[in-house]
Amino acid sequence: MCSDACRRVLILLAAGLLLSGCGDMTFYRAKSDYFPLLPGSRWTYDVAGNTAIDSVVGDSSVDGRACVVVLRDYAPEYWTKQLTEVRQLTNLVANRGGQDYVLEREYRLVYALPFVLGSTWAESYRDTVVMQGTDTVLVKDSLAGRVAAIDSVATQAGTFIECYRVDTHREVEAAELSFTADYSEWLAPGVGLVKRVTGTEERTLTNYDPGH
Amino acid sequence: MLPFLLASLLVTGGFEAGGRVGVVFPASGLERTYDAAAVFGASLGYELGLNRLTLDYGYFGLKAKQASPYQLNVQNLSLGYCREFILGHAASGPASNWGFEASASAGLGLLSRALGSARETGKAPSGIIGLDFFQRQGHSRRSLGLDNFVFSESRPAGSARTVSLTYLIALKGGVAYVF
Repeated sequence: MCSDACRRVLILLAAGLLLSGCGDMTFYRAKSDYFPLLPGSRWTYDVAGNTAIDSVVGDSSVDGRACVVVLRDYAPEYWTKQLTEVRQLTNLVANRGGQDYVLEREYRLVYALPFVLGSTWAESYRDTVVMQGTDTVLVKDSLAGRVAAIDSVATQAGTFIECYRVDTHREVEAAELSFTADYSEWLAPGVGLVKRVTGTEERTLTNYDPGH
Repeated sequence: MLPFLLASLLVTGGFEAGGRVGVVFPASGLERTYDAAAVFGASLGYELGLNRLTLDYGYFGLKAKQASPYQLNVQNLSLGYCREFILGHAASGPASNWGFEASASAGLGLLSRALGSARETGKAPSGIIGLDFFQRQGHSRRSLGLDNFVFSESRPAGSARTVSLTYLIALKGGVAYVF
């Protein structure tokens, strides 16, 4: 019968398809971790000719919540990560008359996961804080994020494919701590942040140690 | 010559149509974020004795482990070859038998990732190796077995090439009508 011929044709067809590599890397993106927080991980960046280092120290608990301690330029940050979101502890403290006032202390949404091209997220925080007995300060902190593109990013640390570009707009209204920021970040599968552009400042990865 | 061969094959062979349901289990990294999901499929086959050529369609939608509207949908169309190994005959006649069948298929997976109104689509070549227990009685054939899916993706990354293989395994049962 045709069994031998059929087998040969199918084996060739299968091998050809598997080796042809005409896939769109959809599965690759679907199973990749775009924000790894493994202890010992270390990211070295070039920021306008200066070196900046981020590293994961380990696990901790802040405000009754398990988190991961990340040193960003040697200053500690506290992050939480679940399958559906990444949050960072925001701690806004204003000093008036020699006394500290906590304007905001919240685990603020940074990324909604998983990343899918076109997905958006937003979160707002509102509160009023009385400072120096009579001065009522309205605190507003809002963040809106959007997965804007899938790019390849070439850096000194290598070329990273299938990076998600996340555009973020953040507005903080909190007395003298008020600011507005717009920035774009490129997150690479299995690596995390490889590039960040804020206004004219650019931060690009020069070395990455995945930790253990 | 070729039309003659095809005509002779069509006279000696037979068609079958069937469907199947089962459960697909993600692996190779997908299991960290996805639960097992139901798999559905339909196939058309052409039998030549113990050999069968099949055209197969399958669908499954993998959902995130945490409550989320996110879903990864896979539709797979494949062309395959099956070989039956008959181990026994039922007393009801020569048309009734049982045994194992091994199959190999090559196809294309159409993928979509959806989160709310956001959607990504893509495709990936697939290879499927299957092993089934079957029982045939008259015009009907029932089967129970495993399908091993491998989806292949690759892209240049600088001077190198990133290759990603994704493996899933499905446990499925099916019925078919042999014309």
